[in-house]
Amino acid sequence: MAKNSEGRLSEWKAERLRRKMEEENRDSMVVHPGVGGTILDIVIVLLLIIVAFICVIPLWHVLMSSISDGRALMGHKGLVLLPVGTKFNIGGYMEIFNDPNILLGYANTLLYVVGGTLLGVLVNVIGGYILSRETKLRGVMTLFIIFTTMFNGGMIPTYMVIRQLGMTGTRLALIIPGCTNAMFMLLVMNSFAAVDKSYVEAASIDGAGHFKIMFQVILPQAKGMVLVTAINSAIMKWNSWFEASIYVPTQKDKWPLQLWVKQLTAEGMDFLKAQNPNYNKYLIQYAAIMISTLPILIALPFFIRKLEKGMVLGGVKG
Amino acid sequence: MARKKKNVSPYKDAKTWKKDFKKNGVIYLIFLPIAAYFIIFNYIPMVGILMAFENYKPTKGLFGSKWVGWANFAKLFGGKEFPRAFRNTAIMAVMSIALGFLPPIILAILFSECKPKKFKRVTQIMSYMPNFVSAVVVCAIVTEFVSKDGPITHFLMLFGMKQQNLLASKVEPVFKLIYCLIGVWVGFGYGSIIYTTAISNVNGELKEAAALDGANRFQRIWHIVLPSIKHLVIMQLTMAVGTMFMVGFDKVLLLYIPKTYEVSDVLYTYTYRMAFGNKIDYGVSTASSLFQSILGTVLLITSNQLSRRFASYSLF
Repeated sequence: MAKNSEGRLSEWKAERLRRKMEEENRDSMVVHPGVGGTILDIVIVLLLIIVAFICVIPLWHVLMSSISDGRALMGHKGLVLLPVGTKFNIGGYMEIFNDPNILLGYANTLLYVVGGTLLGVLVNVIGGYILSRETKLRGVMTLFIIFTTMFNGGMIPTYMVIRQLGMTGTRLALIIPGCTNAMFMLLVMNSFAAVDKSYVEAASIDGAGHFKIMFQVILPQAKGMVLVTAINSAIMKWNSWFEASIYVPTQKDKWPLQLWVKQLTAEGMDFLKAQNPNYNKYLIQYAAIMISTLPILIALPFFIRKLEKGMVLGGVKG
Repeated sequence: MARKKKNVSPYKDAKTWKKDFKKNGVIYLIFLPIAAYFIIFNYIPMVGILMAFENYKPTKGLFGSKWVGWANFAKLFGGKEFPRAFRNTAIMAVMSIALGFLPPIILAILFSECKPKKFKRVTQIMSYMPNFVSAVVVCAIVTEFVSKDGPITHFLMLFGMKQQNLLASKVEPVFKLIYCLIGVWVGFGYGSIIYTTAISNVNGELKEAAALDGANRFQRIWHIVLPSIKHLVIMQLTMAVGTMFMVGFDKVLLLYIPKTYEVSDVLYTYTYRMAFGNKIDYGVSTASSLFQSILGTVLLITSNQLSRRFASYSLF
């Protein structure tokens, strides 16, 4: 274990060094002339600050609102750039973590993300491996998969099939149907096909079976693209709400977090009209938004480079 | 070794098939569960499209329901709601491209011209963030921002707009504009990635030579950077036009209210209401979704043909 992580670390360091050198190189290549250039540089920086501001400020507003004093917030108009009221108030978060429904929603979301992603990776690796092998039916099988990207049955027929399978009202409906798609499988196929065939042949001469070859020989060499599809599918599952709203509409114990957020933010409006509102309950909306959004945004810097690479290789949009 | 295998692969007769099955039989066997997955969740629903031509009753099933031919489509086009939804969909789709196509390209050029690398990286990641926020949260935030006391409403009031909940406005472009601007906000940072990468692959020597020849920043962008990403831009535009009826309308479902259906209802939400709303009609709903999907396919093929003819580039 220790050895492995050390290896990772040095790999990571080497990557950083390489990147730094690349960047320095790139800097030296272009000649920048005079004062006009410097002014333009400043203008570009300013424009990018505005862009970053526009992108982040709505989320910042929610974050700051979530730790404000609920009553003071009601009277506040416009953007909330700093917590309103005299001191931090984490009442909204307390409400959430005392609410068994939302906690269950959180657990459900984790289950759907982990279950759906793992199943998806399994299907993608197996499918990708098979489609990357040189067999006579390869073209037919690939076409069979590709065809599903061009045409689909639509909302109701798909719903009917899942209902016929007896999956509506169960957690399976939120794990199995959307775990993979043709796009992901073809991306994995392409990256598997790029692995040097001699490894596969050597392994099969040594008597390795297909599953051993796909998981122990090919996967370690082409894990980048598998990871990209896994990250994409995890984010999709984390953020999905529509499937749950049609497959488990009344089974609140199976609702994912996003559906609770939808419920809370829609209901909050009515709540404010109540006679003796508990202002912390008003904050619960903001807190719910934050706990459903922050985990991904915090993780973003760690996986974004993978996604950027994947997007360039496969044109995936997450 | 790998090459040797390729040379043998184009077999023709039954014997070779037999050989292939002997050699790859296990592979085909492993493919069966995968095939089953796609058959169940992708191909069987395609058969379900027959519902569009039936007076579908769940109790009677797909093959027991009464066949009504084009009646569902007649109902669609004869009614008031469907043509309205179609019109709104078309306007929103065109507006989305008009407003959303250029920002990622401009942003990518700004990023590529930005000197401080750390600053660039941080702003880049910040610009990606909206893409990772769920539709539910985005719509909740937007609902608050354009509500009567929302920051955007208050900002616009500085310019003389009267205080109101913008999402409840029945004035023609308001809802559509909100929807499209959300799309821009969510997508422009993340959409810039593909252009940023393409620009960073532009030959550095070419840029340097141009700089030595006295070309200024704008001239370099105009004559070197833009021509080098031309193909990518055309490809992205083809894709955007081709898929404009297929993507991202779930936000309308989260934002619209019955009062504004006149300006906000789209095919997607209409299909949804006919399937899961108060007055359920599966036949009409499937017909509506089939219409949208055929329209989408036709558009994709047309835009692909056009780009092949005029830009000699095609997706497929």
